[in-house]
Amino acid sequence: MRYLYFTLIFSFFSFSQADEERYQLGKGLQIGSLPLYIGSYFSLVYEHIDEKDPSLTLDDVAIMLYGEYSHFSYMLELEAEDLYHKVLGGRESREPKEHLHMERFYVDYEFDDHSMLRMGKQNSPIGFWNLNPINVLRDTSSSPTIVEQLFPLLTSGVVFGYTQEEQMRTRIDLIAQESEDIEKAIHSDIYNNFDLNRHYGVGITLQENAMSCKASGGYFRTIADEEYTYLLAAFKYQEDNFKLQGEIGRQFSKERSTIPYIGYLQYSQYFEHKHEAIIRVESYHNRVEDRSDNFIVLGYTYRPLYPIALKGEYQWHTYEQENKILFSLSVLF
Amino acid sequence: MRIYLLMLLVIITLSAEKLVLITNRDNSIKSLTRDDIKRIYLKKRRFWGEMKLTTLNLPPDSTLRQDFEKNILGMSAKELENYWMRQHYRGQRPPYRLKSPQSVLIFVKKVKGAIGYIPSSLADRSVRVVYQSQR
Repeated sequence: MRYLYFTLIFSFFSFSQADEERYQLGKGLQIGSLPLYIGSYFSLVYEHIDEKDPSLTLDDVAIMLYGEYSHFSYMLELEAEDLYHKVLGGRESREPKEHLHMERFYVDYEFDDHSMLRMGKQNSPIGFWNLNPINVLRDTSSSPTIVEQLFPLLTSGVVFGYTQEEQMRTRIDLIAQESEDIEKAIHSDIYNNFDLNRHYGVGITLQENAMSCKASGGYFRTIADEEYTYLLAAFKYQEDNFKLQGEIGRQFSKERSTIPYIGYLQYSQYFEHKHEAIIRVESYHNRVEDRSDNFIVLGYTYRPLYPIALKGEYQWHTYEQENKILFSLSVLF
Repeated sequence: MRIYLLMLLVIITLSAEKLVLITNRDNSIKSLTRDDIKRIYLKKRRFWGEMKLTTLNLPPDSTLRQDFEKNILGMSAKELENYWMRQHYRGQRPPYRLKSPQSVLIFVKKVKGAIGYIPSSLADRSVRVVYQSQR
C-alpha cells in the first residue's frame, strides 16, 4: 500500500510534466479550474552514524492540497513517514509505518491587511527554521536540535496573526491549543515531537530590510501531564549571496530548568543559486534526557533546479559516537 | 531604407516606454510606493483594507515583465522562481498570468481588487495609474 501511494504521486507529477504550460516542477498543479492546487515532496536520506550500520530511508513522502477562496484559504498535507527504511548492514532496525500522517490541516480567514486567523493543525510559528521545515527547503538534511527539543513543532489549535507594515514590518502571533492533536481522530500515532493537549504561545517578529528578529515564548502540556515553558530568541540576516541565522532558547518545568540552554548559529554562502556551503555550530544541555552536546555541522547543497536538492553533511559531536554523515536527495513537485 | 529606419525608431520608442501600475477605478488605492508594490506582488500583503488584491503578471518572456521584476521588485527571475517554490509549500500561488498588456487592462477594468502593469501608452481613463516608473 505504501509503495502504491508513492508510485501514484510520482506518476501523477511525471505525467503532468508533459504539459509544460500547466505544470512546472516545484510549483504544483491546479486541479481542473477549481480553487485547489496539488503539490508533493519527498526525501531519500542516507545516514551513517559512527560505529553503527548505515541506513537508507525514504522519508517525508507527502502530498499537499491547498487553495484560497475569497477571505478563506486552506491546506491539507498528508505524509507517509519512513515509507522505506533499510539498514545497509543487513539488520532491520525498525518497521516502516504503514499509515499516512496528517501533518497540516487548517483553514485561514484573513479579516483585512492586518489580521488573520488560522484554525487547525499547523507548523508552530516559532523561530525561523520551523517555518520551512521540509528537507528540500532546508539548508541542510538535518534540522537543528532546538526545533526538535524546545517547543512543539506542530500546533492543533488556533493562531491569530497581526501584521503592521510600515518602514519596519511587525508581526505578532498568538497561539492557542486546548485539545489533543486532531490526528487523534484517525489514529493514536500522531506526527509531532510532543504529544500535546495544551499549548499557548506568543511571538513577535520585526523585519527591516535584510534583518529579521523574533522573540517567542509559550507553555505546553503533554498527555502525560508534563508541563513546560519555553523561551526563544532568533535572528536572520539575509543578503543575495549569504545568510546568517541563529536561534537560542531555554525550557522550564515547574520544578527546574529542563533545558538550560539550546541553540545554533549558522552561516550559509550561496553561489549562483545552485550551490550552498553551510557551517552550523550547535550546543545544548537537556536535563530530561540527561545529555549535553556541542557540535559542528558542515554541509554542501547542490540544486540543479531549485526544487531538487542534493545535500551532503558531516557532523562532529562532543557526545560520544554521534559523529555522522548524511546524504539526501529531496524533490518538491 | 526609410521604412527600416522608421521601424527601428518605433522599436526603440516602445522599448524605452515607461511602465505604469494600474488598478480599478472603483477601489480606494490612490498611489503605491515601490515597497508597497513589492509586498503586494510577493503576496506579503494580500488585502487593501478589507478588499482582496489580485496581482497580474505577463508571460516570463515579456520585456515589460522583465523590466518590472528587475526595476520595481528588484529581484531576478531566478530569485522569484525560488521564492514562489518556497511559497508553494506555504500554500501561496504566484500572481495570475495573462497573455498581454491588453488583457491586463481589460481584467483591471472588470475586477475591483486587480493590480497590473502595462506600458504607459496603453493606460486610459478607465483605470487608475497608481505608480509610474522613472525609467
